[in-house]
Amino acid sequence: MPRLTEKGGLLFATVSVPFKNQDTFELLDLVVDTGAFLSIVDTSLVDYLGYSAADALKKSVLDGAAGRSEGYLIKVPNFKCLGFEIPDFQIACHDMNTRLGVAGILGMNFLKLFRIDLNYNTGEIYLMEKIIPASARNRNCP
Amino acid sequence: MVARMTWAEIAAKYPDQWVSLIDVSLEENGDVKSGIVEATGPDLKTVIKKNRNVRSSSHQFKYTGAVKNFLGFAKWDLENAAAH
Repeated sequence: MPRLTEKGGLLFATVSVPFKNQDTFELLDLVVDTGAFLSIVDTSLVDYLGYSAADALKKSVLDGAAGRSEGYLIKVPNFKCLGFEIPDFQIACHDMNTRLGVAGILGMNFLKLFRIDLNYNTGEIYLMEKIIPASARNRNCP
Repeated sequence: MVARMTWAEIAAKYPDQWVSLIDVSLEENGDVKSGIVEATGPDLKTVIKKNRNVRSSSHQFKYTGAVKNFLGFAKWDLENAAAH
């Protein structure tokens, strides 16, 4: 069974994102956050993976406790996480204060695809894929 | 010669740092078991600048410390954002 890693009271999932136009990929640690509409990756990591604002689908604006953050949305050809692979997955790219130890968020555009059973104490997580048409998966997502 | 270290050794040697690891060996659950430290720094951008040329699926950026006061984001505005 997949397991999340606990750090500072938060749970992290390791995800795999491919470099742009390459078969190689990078493993990223993202905070699991049901309060995030989309998944976010720090812009410096996105740049490292070869994507840029030139790949943007839309502009993305976040208002949070630390103020306003402007970024952009990209689509990666595949996104592997907790034993599942999601094609054409959307990621919001924003500058994050990585000195806090977080470089990305696993948000609801991934989590909502599943029924999830989570044991917070052990980090064990069980995902059961919902039976929804692929065409409906990105509903409510930009 | 660059030494391979366990994750515990890396975290102890570079506390509260981002590290760029190559030749990463993973535990069964996906945690880093060991690796070779290529670059370190207090923030990710610094580490990436030091390490731009690594393109490997056995590479990983990791933070060795505890997360500090991370709040996430409160409001998301996509509808009103102008498309690129």
